Amino acid sequence: MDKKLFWKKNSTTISRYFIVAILFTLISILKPGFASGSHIKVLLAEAAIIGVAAIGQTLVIITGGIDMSIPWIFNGAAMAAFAFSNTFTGADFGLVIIGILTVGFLLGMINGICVTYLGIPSIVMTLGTNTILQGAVTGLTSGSIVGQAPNILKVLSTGSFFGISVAFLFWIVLAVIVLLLLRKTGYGRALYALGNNRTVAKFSGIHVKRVEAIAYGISGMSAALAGLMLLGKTGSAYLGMGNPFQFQSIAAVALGGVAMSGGSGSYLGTVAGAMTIAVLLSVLTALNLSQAMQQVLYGIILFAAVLIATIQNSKNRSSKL
Amino acid sequence: MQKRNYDRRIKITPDGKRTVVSFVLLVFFLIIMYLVQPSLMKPSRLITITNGQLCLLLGGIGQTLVLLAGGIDLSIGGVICLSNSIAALYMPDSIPGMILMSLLIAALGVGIGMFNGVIITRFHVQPFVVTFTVNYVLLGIALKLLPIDGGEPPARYVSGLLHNFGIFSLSMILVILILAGWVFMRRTRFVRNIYAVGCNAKASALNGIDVSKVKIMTFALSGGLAALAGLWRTAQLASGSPDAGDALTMPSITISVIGGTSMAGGMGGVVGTVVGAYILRLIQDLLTFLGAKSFWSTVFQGVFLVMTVGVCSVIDMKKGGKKNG
Repeated sequence: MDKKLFWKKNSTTISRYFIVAILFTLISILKPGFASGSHIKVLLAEAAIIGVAAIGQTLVIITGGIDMSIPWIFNGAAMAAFAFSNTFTGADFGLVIIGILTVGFLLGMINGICVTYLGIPSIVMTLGTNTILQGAVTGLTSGSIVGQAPNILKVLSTGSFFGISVAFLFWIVLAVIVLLLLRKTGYGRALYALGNNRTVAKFSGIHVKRVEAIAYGISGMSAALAGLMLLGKTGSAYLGMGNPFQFQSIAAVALGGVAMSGGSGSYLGTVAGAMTIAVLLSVLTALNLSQAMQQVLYGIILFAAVLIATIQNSKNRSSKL
Repeated sequence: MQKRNYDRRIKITPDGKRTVVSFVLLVFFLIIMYLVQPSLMKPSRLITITNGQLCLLLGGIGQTLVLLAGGIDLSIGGVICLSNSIAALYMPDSIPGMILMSLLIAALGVGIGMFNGVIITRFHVQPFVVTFTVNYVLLGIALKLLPIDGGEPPARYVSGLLHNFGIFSLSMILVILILAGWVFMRRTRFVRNIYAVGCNAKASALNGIDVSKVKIMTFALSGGLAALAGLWRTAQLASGSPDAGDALTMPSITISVIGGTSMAGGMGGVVGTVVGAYILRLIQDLLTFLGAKSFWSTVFQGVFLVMTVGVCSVIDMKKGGKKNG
């Protein structure tokens, strides 16, 4: 009975891992070398960055909102770390990282506070923040900056530990923390409660606005962290480096089976979603398609995924009621 | 609470009070403009501004209709880019050809909008998810057709659309026709249904309104208007760009909201949106005149969007309480 319940409860998430596994197997049969150890390592490191960027997006979507401001918080964080790496080294740079993550959190909180206390729709607020940051980052850096990727970030993104990439290990640690936060803490339960039914959550004594605002804060912080990771991977920061992550973070969440209407889903699903995207991106690049065709195919695949996830979720919901 | 709003909105002209605010803002910025730079206040300037803003204005009207019915359309930029790219590449150099091509492109826009609407209503997916993803695909297709900025629409097409009749330009006549059309349309059952659905979809359905159909129609109109916006852009710039139009989605929301259209649906109207398009341009001109660098204009776009939506939302909350407690 318990086992059955477990399967039923987690069927959506588990099916996502099956999809990744099947997709991966199919492609590795068609394309030898895809399943080689070194390529898997690259894939997982890439998935890690998408997955980290999607941490906050998962929380925000569970509340029933959306965060469109990830790209430029991401980009701003990478640019800041890149610029400060000249003057701060060693332990001092640790402080810079803490500072950047704090700023990311605060920027996210601004989103959250405006969404919850002023009642601005999350999509408009975060789109606005994204544009403001785009202008601000472009203006402050005047296009290009000189710097270097600090060693600690290089190790984080490209290093390996007993043959496993550090980025992937780091992601696993973060995933465990997020899962514990969602499942075992009052905050996590409050998040699901308000995503399911705001009014009921409010009358159950949950401080709805605070819980929701913090979700946006976490999203800002995770976006900044992902930006630092990509800086470590590419070795330099440039304008527009965060742009793909607006679509990818939402897609990872959707592919992971989290309902866009909020109240359900798990970060475990998002992890599978991020892996799916990494595999897809790698395939589309390997097929030697033009940028445009990649974008079209990628968009269509994700469109289908979102649609299927929504239909599945609405079926689950109606069977629950 | 819901019911009271519903009654009020239907009785008083839908875009009455809220539009007045946008006119006040327009006059305010006109006065500032006059004080700062009187030389810019002349009729020929109105032609330039209208030519420049008609593209955004058409997209904004589509956005307004979708917002009125309680949705949001993030694919406006994508449709504009696609329409712009196709027109810049394939517009033939004969008058019947031009008309046929324009009709085809407009039909394509309507088709994309209908697709959005059908998916949203049939599968109950959030509008922003569907339109955001569709936008991504459309930008990809535009990029496939036109890899770099370019294309050359026929000179007759460009000069025809940018033609001036004395102190009136074709664009100004179009704006006047749009306003007149809206004043006429507002009394029709179709537009009343849009407001009703945006106020309270459940009550509308119980009153026998086909909610899905109304929503699909608003998305279809939005797609069609965005395609027209792309056609206009082709003439205005005399070239095509696969991605520049994408930046128009956000201002399309901004001008709707300055014009008094509520993000929650059911309140506002097209007249306000038209005024909003002119207000946005006036502010941009003021910024340029004050010597602001281009990135400031980007910052401003975001600040202005957040500010207008914030102010409207706070006022609405004070008036009628927030929808979701």
